[in-house]
Amino acid sequence: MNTVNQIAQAALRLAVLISPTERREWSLAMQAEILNISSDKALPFALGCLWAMVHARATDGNTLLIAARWTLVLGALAWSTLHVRLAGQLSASSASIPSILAYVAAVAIALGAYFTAVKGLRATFILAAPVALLSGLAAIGVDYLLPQSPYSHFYKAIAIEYVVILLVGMLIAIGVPHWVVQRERAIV
Amino acid sequence: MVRRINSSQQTRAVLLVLFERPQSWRYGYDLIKETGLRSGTLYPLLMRLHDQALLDAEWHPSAQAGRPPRHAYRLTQNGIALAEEVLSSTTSTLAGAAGALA
Repeated sequence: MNTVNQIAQAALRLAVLISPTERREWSLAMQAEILNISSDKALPFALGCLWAMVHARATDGNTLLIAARWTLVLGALAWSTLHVRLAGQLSASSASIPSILAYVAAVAIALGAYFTAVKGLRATFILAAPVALLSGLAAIGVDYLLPQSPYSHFYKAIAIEYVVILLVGMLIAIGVPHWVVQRERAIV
Repeated sequence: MVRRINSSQQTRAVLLVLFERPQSWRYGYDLIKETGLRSGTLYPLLMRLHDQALLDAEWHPSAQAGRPPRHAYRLTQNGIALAEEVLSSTTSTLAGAAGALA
């Protein structure tokens, strides 16, 4: 077997390796088929098959769900880290209560990331929805409930930021599974 | 009832090639040679036709000893009905074009 054929065989082994479960049989079909192809046509055939399986993997419903879940987990961890940094800056400026709140929020967001990683996108929605609601109420009520202070606008801005970020997270947590189901219904 | 869901030029080419001998099982490489499609286009198309129950696929023992079985394809009854529809629409389009030129 020459080098080009070896590359073609390797490409098809990779195609089998990356193929989604429901496409595994098709990747094996491609691998069997290459043995019946003249050697000058083998490499283009194998590369086309590899591309087909890369595309199948990238657009597979499970892959999209996993990508959405880990995007939310990593996003939440980054957000939690920002809270820790903010808490450090607030404690340096002697704002002890906001600093404690920022640490509490950092832990809560990290827990959200943990439950999203372990339980999935439904956990994101269940945890984020009440916090988004409370944040929305806080953004509306901060002017009425709290006395005017140097931090009033800061609290309001933080509450609005929470609502926006949590809504984006919930949109991903609901939207991606919904889209995957709709797409699979459209295929069959 | 057959839904009109596959209407790309490549899909039509595959349907028509398979429809030439609807009872015969065909292999992937044969379809590549007959349609001129690349493997990266043909196989996703075959997978989609199979998902839509328009294509049967099964493993056949290789004609050459020592080689693994090959995946073979042919149209289902729904696939044949769709191919007939595609063929008649193509024929009527061509007839219309010829009439316009005459």
